[in-house]
Amino acid sequence: MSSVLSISVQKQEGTFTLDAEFEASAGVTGIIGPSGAGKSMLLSTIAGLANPDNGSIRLDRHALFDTAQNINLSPEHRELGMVFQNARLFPHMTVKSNLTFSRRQSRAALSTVEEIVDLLDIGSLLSRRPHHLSGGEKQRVAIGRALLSSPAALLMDEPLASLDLARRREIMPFLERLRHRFDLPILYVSHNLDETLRLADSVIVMDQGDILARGGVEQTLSRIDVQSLVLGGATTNDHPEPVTIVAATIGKRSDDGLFSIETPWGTLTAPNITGRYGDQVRLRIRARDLVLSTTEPTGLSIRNVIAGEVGIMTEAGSAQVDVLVRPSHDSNAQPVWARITKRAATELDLQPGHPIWALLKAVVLTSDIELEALR
Amino acid sequence: MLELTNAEWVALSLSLKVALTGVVVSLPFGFVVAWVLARKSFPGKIILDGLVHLPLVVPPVATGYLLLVLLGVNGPAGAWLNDQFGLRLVFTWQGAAIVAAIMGFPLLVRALRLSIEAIDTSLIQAARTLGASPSRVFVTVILPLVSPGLIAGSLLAFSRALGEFGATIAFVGNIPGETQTLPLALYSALQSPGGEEMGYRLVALSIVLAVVTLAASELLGRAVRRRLTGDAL
Repeated sequence: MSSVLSISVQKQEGTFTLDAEFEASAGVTGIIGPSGAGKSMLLSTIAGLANPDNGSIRLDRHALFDTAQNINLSPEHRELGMVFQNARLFPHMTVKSNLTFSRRQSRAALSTVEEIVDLLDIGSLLSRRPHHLSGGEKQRVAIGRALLSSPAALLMDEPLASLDLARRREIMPFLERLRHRFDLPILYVSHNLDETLRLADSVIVMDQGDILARGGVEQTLSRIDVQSLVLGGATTNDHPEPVTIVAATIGKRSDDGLFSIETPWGTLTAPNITGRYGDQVRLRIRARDLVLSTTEPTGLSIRNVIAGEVGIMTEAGSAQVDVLVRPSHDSNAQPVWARITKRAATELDLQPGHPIWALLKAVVLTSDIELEALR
Repeated sequence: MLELTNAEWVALSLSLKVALTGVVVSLPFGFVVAWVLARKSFPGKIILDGLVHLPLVVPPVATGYLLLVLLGVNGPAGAWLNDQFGLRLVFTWQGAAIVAAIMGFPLLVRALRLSIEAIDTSLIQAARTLGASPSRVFVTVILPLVSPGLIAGSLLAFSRALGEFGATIAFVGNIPGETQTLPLALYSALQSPGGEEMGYRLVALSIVLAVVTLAASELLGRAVRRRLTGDAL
């Protein structure tokens, strides 16, 4: 039976105020936000490395911290595992001694050294010292060390942030594996959209110490305000291009090399997809990769068409406009953002409520949509 | 020449006993003071820092005399020690060890303090989140990480104690077999007619002892650093 973390903390530090309240049950809760949003401070308060001014932190019904009841367990009594941005391995111990450092016995062992070593593929490192490990290896050992303390929940504070892209790619499959192996609440702090998209089951968006948004990954991270916060300034002319994030399942591969991909908008097709049949993936679709049509398209080479109606339209600078297309077949299906020129919008006479067809080239799905296997 | 006379053996073994006891006695105090200086900030920290360094800058004879006043049988602290524990420090080797502890204290604290300041506190946090109590963190993380400073500081203080003269002669006198350490024996030899030969032998012995101590410090330090960083030096 996995635990539930209930958190309600306030902490003032200078002019910065952290104020967060949420619950996390088994699975990965992605905590995303720009640097300085208070994500790391939040994790420190949960781990007991920093004290909130006010609030309570509970593991199931068991209070780890509660200002009303004057409870403040020290970190070693909280039974929470923590993985830091830098691995923080003990330099004077071998990998093996690092892994077996924890002597926590209050809970049933979560796993065995053998299993963890196998899961993280660190068997060949056991007799080495941290100085002789690469960044990715260090972080894998740190994750193993935290798991071997048999925590009731795992706190991960930007575990990949200090690694380069190649090392992140190296570690990601291990994170996915442990997420499926262990039935734990995992709080995964990151400022990286890709990591969160790939790992999180639900997401909490933080900005300036507050929770700006929370909920399902696709809905929450498709919000424009969330994207401009998380991706802020990454694109030109101060109007970040909206990205639509949608859950999808990889379907069958046809003889001519096309995969069918099941999405809330129906079946899309794409060549050269990395992933296997049945894999749950999240598609990232850039607004500029969509073409809009006011009549149902025929005689086109485009395979992927989403029929819908025009939702809200927001200007993106003087020449462009972002159009939200709401699928018509199901009012609950996720809308998709398209970016077109203002001139095109005028010529098509786009108005909210008008029928519209959004077109997506199958080839674009290979190059410009990032497919990230979740399993 | 290589054969030590009985008197030389007595002075040498007494010197080692006094210096070793002095270091062992000062270690726990030195660690606490070094920790406080390295990690805490409080009003009056600069005064504590100054006090710790006093034995380094005050003339040793003055320190010895001050100890005599404080710890003498009629002194405030000395009388109490005598009443409570029957411990007499004046004119005893224990007194000489106290002198050794005090004179080596600044060197011990300086080395330990540098080592403690260099500890990555994030490792301590990591150990706590893994369920380690503060005392287990101390034994398994802090002690190993400060061991370079511990070794360097202890051997510095040990060397300083071996060479201690002024405060020792002022506080515990120059009694062969009880308080006459190597430097004091050397002094006595040079004061007595025809004592030059013994003087030379004691000078040579002191140099050998110093070289051995330095070499031990260097070798131990290297071994520990290699263990901590894994670098071959």
